[in-house]
Amino acid sequence: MVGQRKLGRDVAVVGAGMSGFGMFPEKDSKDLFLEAFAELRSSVDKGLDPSEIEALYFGNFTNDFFVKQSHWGAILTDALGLVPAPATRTEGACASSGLAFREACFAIASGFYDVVLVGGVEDMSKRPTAEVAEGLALAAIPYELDAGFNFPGVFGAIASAYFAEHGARREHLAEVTIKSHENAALNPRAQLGKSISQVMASKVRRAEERGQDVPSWEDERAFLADPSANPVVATPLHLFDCCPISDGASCLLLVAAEIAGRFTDVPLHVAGIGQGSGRGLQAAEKLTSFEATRAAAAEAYAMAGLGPAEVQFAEVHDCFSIAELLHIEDLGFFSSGEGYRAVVDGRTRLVGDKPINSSGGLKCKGHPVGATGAAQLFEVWQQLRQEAGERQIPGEDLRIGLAHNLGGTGGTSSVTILERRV
Amino acid sequence: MGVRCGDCATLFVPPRALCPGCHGESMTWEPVSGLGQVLALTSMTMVSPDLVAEGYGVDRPYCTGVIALEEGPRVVARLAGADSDAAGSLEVGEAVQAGFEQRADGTPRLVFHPA
Repeated sequence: MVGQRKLGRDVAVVGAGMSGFGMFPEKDSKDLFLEAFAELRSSVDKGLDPSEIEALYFGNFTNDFFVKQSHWGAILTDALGLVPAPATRTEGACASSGLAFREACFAIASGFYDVVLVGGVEDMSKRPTAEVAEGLALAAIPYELDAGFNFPGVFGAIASAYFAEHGARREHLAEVTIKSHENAALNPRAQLGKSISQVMASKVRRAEERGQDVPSWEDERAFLADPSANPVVATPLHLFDCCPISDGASCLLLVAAEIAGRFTDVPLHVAGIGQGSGRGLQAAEKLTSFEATRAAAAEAYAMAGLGPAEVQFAEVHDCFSIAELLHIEDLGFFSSGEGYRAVVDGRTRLVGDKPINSSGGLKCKGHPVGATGAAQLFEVWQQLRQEAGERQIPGEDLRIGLAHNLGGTGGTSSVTILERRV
Repeated sequence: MGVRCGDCATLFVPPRALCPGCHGESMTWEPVSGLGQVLALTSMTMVSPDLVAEGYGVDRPYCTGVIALEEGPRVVARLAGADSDAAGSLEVGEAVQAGFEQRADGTPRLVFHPA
């Protein structure tokens, strides 16, 4: 019974860090994870002695393919100076570190460990784009691959079904993109850290410098509607509907809530965790909703004893603009078919009543797939602790934030709800 | 071809060995008409290396989609006659008929044409 699932004892987040997200030819996964860990150490208010860390749980989808190196648990524990602490890798495609977080919670809640490092890493940019797409496609369902689908294709097809079902159009997806870029422009670590207006201005400047015809657009919407500026990838999705290829790492420090006071006076409690599985396009009950997300959300809400209305903001898995619409409906923030209207009405902006992806999301912050779940929780950490700088969600009383991580074509989903109680 | 579960009579295309609904294991082969309706579709300009080798890409998009067979099950397959962003020759809801074509390597590929 979903309603009866509880952690054996409370778990709290007391530190968090994130590497830069982007394409870093000179950095490998070890460098990226150490970068995130350095920030995590400095984020622990009362200090962290790394020798207190008893275990590492980390998500990585397929560095095996991207950089032809596996067995990162041993490499990372050595690099972090944690040997002989055990390391466990979780793999759930793009939800890999959402799964790591959940397993780490279980490890603490069971009483086995008190202090656990959890994170994720992916190193994707060392191979050409077509090969990266091939690597990501390893997470699709075999029938989808056989039919020629890749990830933009899957989400393009989902968008066609969403449009047909709800009457949404491409210009509504553009509103998701504009909002993601607006938020990312306020996030110094976002890979695509420019608003659409700033992107337009830099294209004009570049054309002027090169003595080429200087393009002009009436506004951001006109820019996104211009196929020469925003070419099609998989109808109805265009380039600016898609997340970039990224390298990056992120990590969090989880402890038993009863000892959280040793690390900080402002811990974040793990109020709810949930995980679900789904079936891919051809066997899914519905093309415009992910069963895995609905199951994960139901589990997390039941455990937290709250519902979507009480979640004040969320990071959701917007690998494509259309994905954000499905998720905000599946998570119960908006009813089916209302997601796109909510975005158009500005309700998901930083100043809206349900801010979504304040970080810029996967779309603009970047999506090093194995690191994404942990990085979403890093954003929730910063927001709940009022440490998000220019992109801080307004209002003093931020208490409850949610992170939603999706793997594959809906095959895996995790939902985590963090709560600030002090 | 699909399979029908001997225990709960559900039809599956593509075939599967275990019924996910009732966990029955007695499956029997059953032909399907190949007639269906497009539920979702996309025309892709960025495609996998094997499709690039077949000549698909920016200048010749590859169209694929989700089709509901008239018998109920859904399949994913290439959609012929919609390989263009602008053409819009196929839309969600349209009737299609299954067929097979040959890939570059000689293996068959399921493809649906407008019915």
